Amino acid sequence: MGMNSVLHPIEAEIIGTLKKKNNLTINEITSETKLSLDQVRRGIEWLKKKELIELEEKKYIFVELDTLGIKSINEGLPERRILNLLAEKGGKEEIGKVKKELGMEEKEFSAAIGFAIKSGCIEVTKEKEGVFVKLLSLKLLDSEALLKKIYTKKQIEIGELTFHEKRVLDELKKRPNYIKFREVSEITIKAKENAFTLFEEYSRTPYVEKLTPELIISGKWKEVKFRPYDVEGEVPTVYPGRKHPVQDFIDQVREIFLSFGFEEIEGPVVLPSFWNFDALFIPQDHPAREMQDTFYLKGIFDERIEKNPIIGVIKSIHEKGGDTGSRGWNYKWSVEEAKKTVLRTHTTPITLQYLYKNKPSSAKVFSIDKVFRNENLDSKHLFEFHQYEGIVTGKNVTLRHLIGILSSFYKELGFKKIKFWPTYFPYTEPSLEAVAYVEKIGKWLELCGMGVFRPEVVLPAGIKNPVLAWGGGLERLILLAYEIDDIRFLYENHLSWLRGVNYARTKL
Amino acid sequence: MPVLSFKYERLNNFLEKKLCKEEILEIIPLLGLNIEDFNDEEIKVEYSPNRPDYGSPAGIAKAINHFYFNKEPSIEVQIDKSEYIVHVDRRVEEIRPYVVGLYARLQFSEQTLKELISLQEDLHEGIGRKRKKFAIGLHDASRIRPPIYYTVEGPDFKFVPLYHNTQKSILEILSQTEQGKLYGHLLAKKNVFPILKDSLNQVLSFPPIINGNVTALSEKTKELFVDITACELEPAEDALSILAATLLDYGAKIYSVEINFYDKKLETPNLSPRKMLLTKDSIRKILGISLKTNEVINIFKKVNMRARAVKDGKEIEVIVPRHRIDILHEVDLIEEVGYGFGYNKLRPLPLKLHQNGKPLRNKKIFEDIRNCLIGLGFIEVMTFYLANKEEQDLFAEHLIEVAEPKTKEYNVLRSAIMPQLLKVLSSNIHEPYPQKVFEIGRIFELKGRSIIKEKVKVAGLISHTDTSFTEVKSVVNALLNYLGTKNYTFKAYTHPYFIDGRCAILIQNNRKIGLLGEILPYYIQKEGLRHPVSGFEISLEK
Repeated sequence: MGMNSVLHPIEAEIIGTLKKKNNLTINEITSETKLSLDQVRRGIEWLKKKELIELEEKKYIFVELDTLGIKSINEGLPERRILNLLAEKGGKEEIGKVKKELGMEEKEFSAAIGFAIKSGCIEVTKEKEGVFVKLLSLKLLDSEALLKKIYTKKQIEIGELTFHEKRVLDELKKRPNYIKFREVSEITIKAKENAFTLFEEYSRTPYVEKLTPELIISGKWKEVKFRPYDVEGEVPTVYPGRKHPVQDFIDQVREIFLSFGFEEIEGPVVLPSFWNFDALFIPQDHPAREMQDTFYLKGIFDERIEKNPIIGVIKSIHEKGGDTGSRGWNYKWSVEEAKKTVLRTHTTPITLQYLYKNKPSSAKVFSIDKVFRNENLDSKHLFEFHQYEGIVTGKNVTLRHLIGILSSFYKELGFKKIKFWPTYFPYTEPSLEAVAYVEKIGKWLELCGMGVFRPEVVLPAGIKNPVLAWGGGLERLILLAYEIDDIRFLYENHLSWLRGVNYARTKL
Repeated sequence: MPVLSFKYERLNNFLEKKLCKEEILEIIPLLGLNIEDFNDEEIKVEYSPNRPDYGSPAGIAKAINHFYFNKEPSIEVQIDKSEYIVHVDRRVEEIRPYVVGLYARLQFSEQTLKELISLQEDLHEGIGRKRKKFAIGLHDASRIRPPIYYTVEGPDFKFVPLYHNTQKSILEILSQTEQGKLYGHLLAKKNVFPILKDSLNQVLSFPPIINGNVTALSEKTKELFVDITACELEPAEDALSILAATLLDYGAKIYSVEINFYDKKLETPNLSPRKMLLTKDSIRKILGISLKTNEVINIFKKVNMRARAVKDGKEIEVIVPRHRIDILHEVDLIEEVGYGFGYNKLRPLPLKLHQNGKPLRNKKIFEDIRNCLIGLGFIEVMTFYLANKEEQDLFAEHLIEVAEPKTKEYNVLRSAIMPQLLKVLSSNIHEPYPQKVFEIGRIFELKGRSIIKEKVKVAGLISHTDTSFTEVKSVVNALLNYLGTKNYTFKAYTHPYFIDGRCAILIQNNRKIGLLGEILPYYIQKEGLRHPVSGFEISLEK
């Protein structure tokens, strides 16, 4: 029998109660014990599983007053009203007058006369002057007595009625709308013989429920018997603290960068347009700079950049190419436009500011951070998401090195088949895009933009060597890794997901 | 990015040799075009707005003819003079000074017409910046009696605009037509308007708004007149050169138009190519490949450019067609070499630049905080930096608003994390309690009028029937001890987000670094929550 052979204290309490009186309902057990209804329910569940009790369903029929029944309590039954009228008239009256005075319908009246005759309270006689009703007795009728009893008790279980009452009830049943019946079923619990045997055992053995410090210190634990638990049963669920899956993915990508010997950098979210756009050779009338794509801060302009001597250089590069050998964009550059503050639309300003500040002759740096686009939130778009970005600069680095780095970078992320296609970005030339064949979805997926920073971008920063750069959206990789379709889901923070998700650890 | 749809069959009409669907799908991405979608008959490609020569099936076919079928470059074009002259009224100088044009003979079809109009629209939207930089008018030249006058008219001047059947005044056009409403703002704030008309006073166009109906194109059109007006000459000439190149791709014969400004004469279109210099060394530095001069020359042929060795073979001179407005710098030529060579033929090279990986120091601290709170049973959540004004109101004197957010309820940069976390609890009302969440992220403060300070903070909320100030203070203590923070004190504080008498600030070196307490039931109820919530938010500067 093993662990089932010992009762749990709740089970013991229930069986103990049933031993006094078997066949009790759950409510009865609850009121007989100190257990809560919830505990009793749980205990019964366990006992049922152990086959120590049987559940029996019992049906009860209750009788209650219906509309006419209630009416009769106030006004009397129709036959009572006939008797009362006869008493008023001196004990005898012509039948037609009785009916008229009581204002009864023919059907109701003749039924009432019938009931009154049957109970021996009146008799009907034919005389010369007509048909007369004669009062014999004013005694309480059986039907009246039963209706009143039901009325006072509100409802009566049929089993509680006497044999005689049951007969009266059968009569009343024939009269429509006087009484009605309600069926109620109730479950009773019956303990089986082996339950009582276990209970005896339980009562005999001084099981200890809890190991207390006293038992340990005093050494009494050696003498007692611990109640065995049902170790195969259900237990309450607890939830561990967890890292957010997006953060976990960020950390995995960071690890790849770090293992490749890259240095991590960061930068501000809020920037003047100058750093987000102008210094990247994005012309001031470029569609990406419009308010419908970029978040501008209301009424906030970065006046500090006006004092930065670099703006003269950037202005001349935009307008006619400056000293970079470029033709420039051929328009009038405005510092006012450059002062407008934006939420960075990409992570490239972070790397660009790094280049301006450190003027490295060689470097490998990366950043993974949030970027912002003025988008409607839907299943494909977020207004706030993450980009990862890396740059490499050095004396002899070329596009072929970049292709090499990316091939191993994406291999680490689990992409096996990668291609490079030409594309266009205002701040890199050549500009390429890396695409990977994803078997899961049977499609080529855009991974990132990549290229060599244009001279118009790096010469003003004082960088002479080629700067290789690549960057892409992180969420699309996460969606793929977690097989999620709706991008919003990542930031809806459903605790059910956060508490239970298995981290996407394997390579994609 | 503009998108172009066409049938494979249509592309094949312009190709030297027919290509099957698979071949086309293979080649298209190599040209720098992005395949948006395709089926067995049709393909949808996205092209960069700075390559408007890809804006028609004929243009793409030309690129394939050079790139794949090695067709010789066609850069220099012989243009004869047409009888068309445009006289420019001096009064346009203040409102829209420049006009250029061309005349062409061409066999139109319904398809050609559709493609040209689509290109015109893409030019307007892309390099035309929604007609800000130039406006193009395409006309059935057989309806025009030259010479043409580019002049001005008043607001009551009337003509029948394109696709209308009654006359409308300029004011009516501006206030009633779709184009008037879309582009009216581009007009100079003067009471005169630019009008292009012929010697019979027929209106060709009211730039940059709408053409006249009289010169409307149809599939029967055989002669085409193109006008482009602008506030600057160069963008107009750029656009005209692109249209000229495309018309040539369609097999048109192009003639020049004389433009008579009051102070000068101009023959347009100007299709004279640009000459640029390049060295093999700069190709090697960027692409990492060493090419011989004749290899470079051959590669340029594939992209419809002509190259030759100059300066004793030290440099290479490249002849760039006028319409390649995207070629700004030597690096743009290097890119042409790159894709003429084929990027997929560029073999990867291992990088020999060794250094140790170096994470940011603060990221290590964040990792410590994360470990500590996770150990205390907290779940990490990630919410947006953009937040709702009403929810953030209590935490800053001046909130930082973003202009015209498309997702309207996210309208400010957050100044506190706790309200965002309360929303997280609110959306998890049916999940088992206790609930403990935290986030590490930035908040934003406005200093003075225009300086924005970004701070990283950690915030956490605890919710269950028995949570209290005591619990949250214990958590804060545990976290600070874990981080080895010294010399901090708690001081009673009043803050409208918290129950009075159950709120404290955290002080270190006389600076307020944190806030904690039991959240006011008003906010709990407002989020539809039923259990008490306690919370903390601590600044992580230094």
